[in-house]
Amino acid sequence: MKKIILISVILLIALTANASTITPTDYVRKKTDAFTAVLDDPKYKKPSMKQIQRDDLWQVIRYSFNYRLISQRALGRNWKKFSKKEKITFVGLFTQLIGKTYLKTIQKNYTGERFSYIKEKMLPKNKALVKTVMISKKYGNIPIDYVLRFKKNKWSVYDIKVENVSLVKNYRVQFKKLLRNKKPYDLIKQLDEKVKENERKN
Amino acid sequence: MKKLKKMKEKIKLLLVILALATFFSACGSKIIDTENIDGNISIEKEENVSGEEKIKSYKEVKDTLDDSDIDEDEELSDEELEEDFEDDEEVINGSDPLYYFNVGMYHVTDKTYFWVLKPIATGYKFIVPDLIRIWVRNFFYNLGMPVRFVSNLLQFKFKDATAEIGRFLLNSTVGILGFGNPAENFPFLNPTKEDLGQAFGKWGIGEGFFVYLPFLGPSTLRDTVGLVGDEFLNPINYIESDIAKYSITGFKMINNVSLQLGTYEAIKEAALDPYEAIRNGYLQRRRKEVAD
Repeated sequence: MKKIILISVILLIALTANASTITPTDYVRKKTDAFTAVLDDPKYKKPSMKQIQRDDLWQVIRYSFNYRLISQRALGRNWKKFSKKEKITFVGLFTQLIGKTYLKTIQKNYTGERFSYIKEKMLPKNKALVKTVMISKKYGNIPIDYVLRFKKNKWSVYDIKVENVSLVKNYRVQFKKLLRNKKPYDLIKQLDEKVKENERKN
Repeated sequence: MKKLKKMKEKIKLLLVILALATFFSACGSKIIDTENIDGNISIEKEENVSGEEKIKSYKEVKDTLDDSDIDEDEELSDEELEEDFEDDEEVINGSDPLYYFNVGMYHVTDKTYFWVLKPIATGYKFIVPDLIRIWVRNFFYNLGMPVRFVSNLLQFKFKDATAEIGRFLLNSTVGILGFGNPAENFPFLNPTKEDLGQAFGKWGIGEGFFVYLPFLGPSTLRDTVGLVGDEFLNPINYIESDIAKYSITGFKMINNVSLQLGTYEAIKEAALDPYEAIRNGYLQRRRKEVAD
């Protein structure tokens, strides 16, 4: 009996230890560092390398946020109106829209900005808030907060707040208004047009 | 005896050098200090991660690409879909009685930006180097001290009010008329930017309705009243010559725009409905600012 208790206690400790090896801040830091590493890398300095740099940045940003979760929360109850196929298309296009616009802006305006990790706050239901500040000579200090969720032993980011403006909430207002008298299909079509329009501008 | 005197002088010199070194290194290092929600103060020095380490971490992410954080089949429950959005309904359906006026003004302002402001600011940016434009911005920010000082006082934020004075004194002297910003190296001299609209909000005065001010951008009834008050506290408005007053205000605007070119474009590109995106962004930001 004693042995069983001992083993289960050891197991429990081992499990919790494993789960807490990476903190939400570590998670955000790892992704941010990967992103700035590509931005800082001198090999992309040549104008001819800019497209390659963009592709590499996209690889990082593509896997830094949980776009499916972001999409669901940005649509709220309307998510249920989407068919399975529509859901997949929507997530894909929405990923392109937010990912690519921000990527382009950052690549264009980056002047060696650094990030400072201010605070980490655990929230109920396995969630966490990581408060950071982007330090920039040119743009001043801009607070950027990340909201993360822990599930299946993994953290993932499902909302970003830039200067206290939540990305999810901002899109939620827009989607809700559009879906008031439009079908999911129309919204997807509009998203597609927007993505293509942005692509053309490049 | 002589030796002792020499020793003393040497020690004195060493101390001065040490003090100077500490001062300069304090100025050089970036320390971010933010009073967090619990009232504790956490300080974290900016870390200098070496380039190699960073590239390693980039590769690490690349290696784990297949091991994505996204569960492709995940479905949130009804409750999860709606949580954290208690105040959301209000923002969406919140009063926008001036909707048609606002959308009109949004388009007017948008066109003014692309046809007038942006071309001028782009030309100005081409001629004037970044550093000088940052100095100019610092100068005008320093000049805006009275608004921030009074707004802090009206909210009984005496610590921040004092900090505004301290910042003004330091930047006006050591920072040479406010062009430099030595105060940025002292966290306690960098209180958040306050204005009268926020002070009114703190007193419990509601936003009223949303209004898109031509050329000035998103605002609310309360914040517009605050804005008028802010102008009374703006030293530039006390310049006697009208021509000088308006030229200086215009110059300040062009300088600010020149440092933020691309931001507005990015917001527009990312939005499906730019007007709603800007309106919601403004309301979210202001609510947080008032609450702080």
